[in-house]
Amino acid sequence: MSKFIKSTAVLVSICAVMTFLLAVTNEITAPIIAENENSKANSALLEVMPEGGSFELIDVAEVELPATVTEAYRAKNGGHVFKLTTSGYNTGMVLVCGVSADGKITGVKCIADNETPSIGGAAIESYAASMVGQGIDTVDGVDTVTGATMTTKAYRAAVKDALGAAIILCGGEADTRTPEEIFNANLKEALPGADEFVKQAIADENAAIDFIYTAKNGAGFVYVTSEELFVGVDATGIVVTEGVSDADATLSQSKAALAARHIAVDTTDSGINQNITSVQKTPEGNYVIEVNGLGFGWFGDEEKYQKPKNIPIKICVVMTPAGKILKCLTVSHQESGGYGAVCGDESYYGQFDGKTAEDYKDVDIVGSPTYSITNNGYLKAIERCFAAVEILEGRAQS
Amino acid sequence: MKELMIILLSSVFVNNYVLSRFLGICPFLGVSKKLGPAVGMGISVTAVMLLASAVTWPIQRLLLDRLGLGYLQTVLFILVIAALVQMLELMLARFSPALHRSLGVYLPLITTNCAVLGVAINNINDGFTFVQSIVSALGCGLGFLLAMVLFAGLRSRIDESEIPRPFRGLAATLIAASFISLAFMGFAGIVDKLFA
Amino acid sequence: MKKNSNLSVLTRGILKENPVFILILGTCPTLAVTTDVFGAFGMGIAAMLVLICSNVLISLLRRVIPNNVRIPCYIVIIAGFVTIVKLLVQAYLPALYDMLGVYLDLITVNCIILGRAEIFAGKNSVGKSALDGIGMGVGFTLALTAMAVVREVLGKASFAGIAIPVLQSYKIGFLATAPGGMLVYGLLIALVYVLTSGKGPMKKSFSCAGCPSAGFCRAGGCDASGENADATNAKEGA
Repeated sequence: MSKFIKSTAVLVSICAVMTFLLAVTNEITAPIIAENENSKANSALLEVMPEGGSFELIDVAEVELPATVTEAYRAKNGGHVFKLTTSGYNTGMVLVCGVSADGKITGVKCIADNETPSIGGAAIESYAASMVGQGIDTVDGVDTVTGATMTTKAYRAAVKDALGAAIILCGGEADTRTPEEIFNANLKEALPGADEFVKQAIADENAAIDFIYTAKNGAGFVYVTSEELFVGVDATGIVVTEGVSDADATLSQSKAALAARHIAVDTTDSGINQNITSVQKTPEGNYVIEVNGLGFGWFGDEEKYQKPKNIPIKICVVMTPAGKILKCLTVSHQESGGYGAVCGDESYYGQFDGKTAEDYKDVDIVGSPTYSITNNGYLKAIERCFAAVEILEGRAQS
Repeated sequence: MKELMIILLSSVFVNNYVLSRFLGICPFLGVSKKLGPAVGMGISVTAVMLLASAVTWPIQRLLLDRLGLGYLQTVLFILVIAALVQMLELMLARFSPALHRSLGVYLPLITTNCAVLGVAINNINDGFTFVQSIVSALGCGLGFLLAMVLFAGLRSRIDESEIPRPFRGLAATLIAASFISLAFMGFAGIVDKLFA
Repeated sequence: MKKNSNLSVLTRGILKENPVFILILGTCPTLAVTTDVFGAFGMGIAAMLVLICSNVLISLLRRVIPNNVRIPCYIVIIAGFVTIVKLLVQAYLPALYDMLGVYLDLITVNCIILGRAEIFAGKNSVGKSALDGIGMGVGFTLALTAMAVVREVLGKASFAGIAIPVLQSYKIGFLATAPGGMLVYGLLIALVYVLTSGKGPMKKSFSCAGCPSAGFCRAGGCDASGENADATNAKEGA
């Protein structure tokens, strides 16, 4: 027992002595360490903004700044310095970035990173110089460093965040998204329900567009026209982006894009009605049928009136092999406004979605009696689509 | 949850303690000759890391930080780890002699395993919460186990080969370890993008 | 030279029993901080300071410390000195502190220091222990620096942070990375073997014989678990 007490006593007294020594050392070094840290923090700020004078920490909790901004300082000369944390090739890249009062970068310094030393690390060192003098409009134009794209992209995006944060702190509004992020947002807007996109080349060299962006979750695809218009096409093959489905200019491109994805079905000599202008098959096995409806001026009964007075209603119907309408859409029409023009509204053509050959006639007819002419033509066109699918699936009795 | 997964996976693969941070190299080289001992050591280290993190985090946050005694961190942590290892060994001997026979021999070595103290200190330095600390300790332990197991497989091949005299032994072992470490470098940049 | 003369105690750590290349101790800092000559040298000096202080104090107390609690006592003493050195470095050499980071704390568990306490200081006089600390410390510092010179000059084309213009386009970035560190270490061990014509006692490489923890490790430690240290050593020494 006495041995136990002695052991404990020795251990405890050694602990006590070491603690005392530590406390003394700490007393001496603590103020120096605190000062070191202070001057280190300040020197990084001065390095990116030599004319900054002194710096004052801003409380960023109440302002909505880009998520990368972790600390913000206001300089005496009216500029701002931001500490930003981002991920390049690896997590934990910390930048200090100075923005002058007129919104230009005064300097950038990377104070911590976990990038590959000889690749991303080397790029970081040389990249800072090319950022000086850039504003929020020009920063995206700074080229990334070949071989260190991930590192320099993240770097550039963080610098843009700093520029945006400076504008926000000065009371303005800033879009700090990178061009890629804006592009992705446009893609998603064009095709609601899509998550991420894969860029795919169009094989057909006659196609007006070169690429389509296919949604990973199977929601469809988006193509971008030469007028920078984002057109979303859903999985059934229908243009879903608002405001572009009626435009014939984009329709040709849409067809090209569809053609790249869909297999055209040869309808020659198949007995399919001539008003059906094209039939395509989607990878899912559904039919995308384009058909001309006979509206006002045709009077529904074709036997009596052979001469068209008006331009046909172009209708696009997507149907399952079993003969159910997945999607019906009026592509274009020139029916009389206030009367048959209702057929161009989703309130009308949307009624066909989910209908089969049995119940497709149960659509709501609204409007004046003349409207029934448009309606009859439309129903006839839909009927032809059902017939076409029956033929294509080999179920029709010839 | 996403953050925890990132911490876990990056401490297993990207910031693997043995292969990229060089912590716990001694047992990595010493106990990786055969698979059995390698697994035993790996499991013991994982257990001690978990325990040590669970104990040192409250000590730092609830005791040292509040009393302004940050300078006692190293002393206290290493004492706590030593005591924990001691206790774990006694408990194992008492309640599970079989486990003690298979893992017990590694426990005394773990006191001076820098990976254990490294995890405890890094948890504090990285500003982790309690749960994050535990997850990070688990990841580091599993990473250690993974490195040990992978390397044990390689070692048996090296030991059987005819290697030029000067490279025989540790030199060849280190060069082989270098290649495994090189392979692990490939994980950098993957983990946080996995959940992006 | 007498086996335990003061001179031999001082010099054996530098060459004959170099902790890094012959005894293979303290491998973690050897690999981790040798990407920069300044950091490696600083690490060596810091470890040497801790080693000398702990050796002296442990030697002083060797008759006071009971055998059964010696390891906790050693650990507390070492950890205490490590923290003191850490605080001093943090205060007066902040650049070095930033470079070494957590590895400064981890001197605590550097096997060289605990190993010397267990093997030497706990059994020898204060003067000899101090000499032993200096010798081992210098050996450790030299080895770290040598390794850092290879890795920094060839890997980063700089020396102690100062760029070497001639080498800029020939640098081998790989050497500065983690796997590069292991490769350089392996090659240097082989080189030391060649230079000492195989007389460097490689036999202590990695078995219980060279492990400082072996003293307080029961039942033969790692070797008990299916390892046969003697057979391995015999094979390696052949």
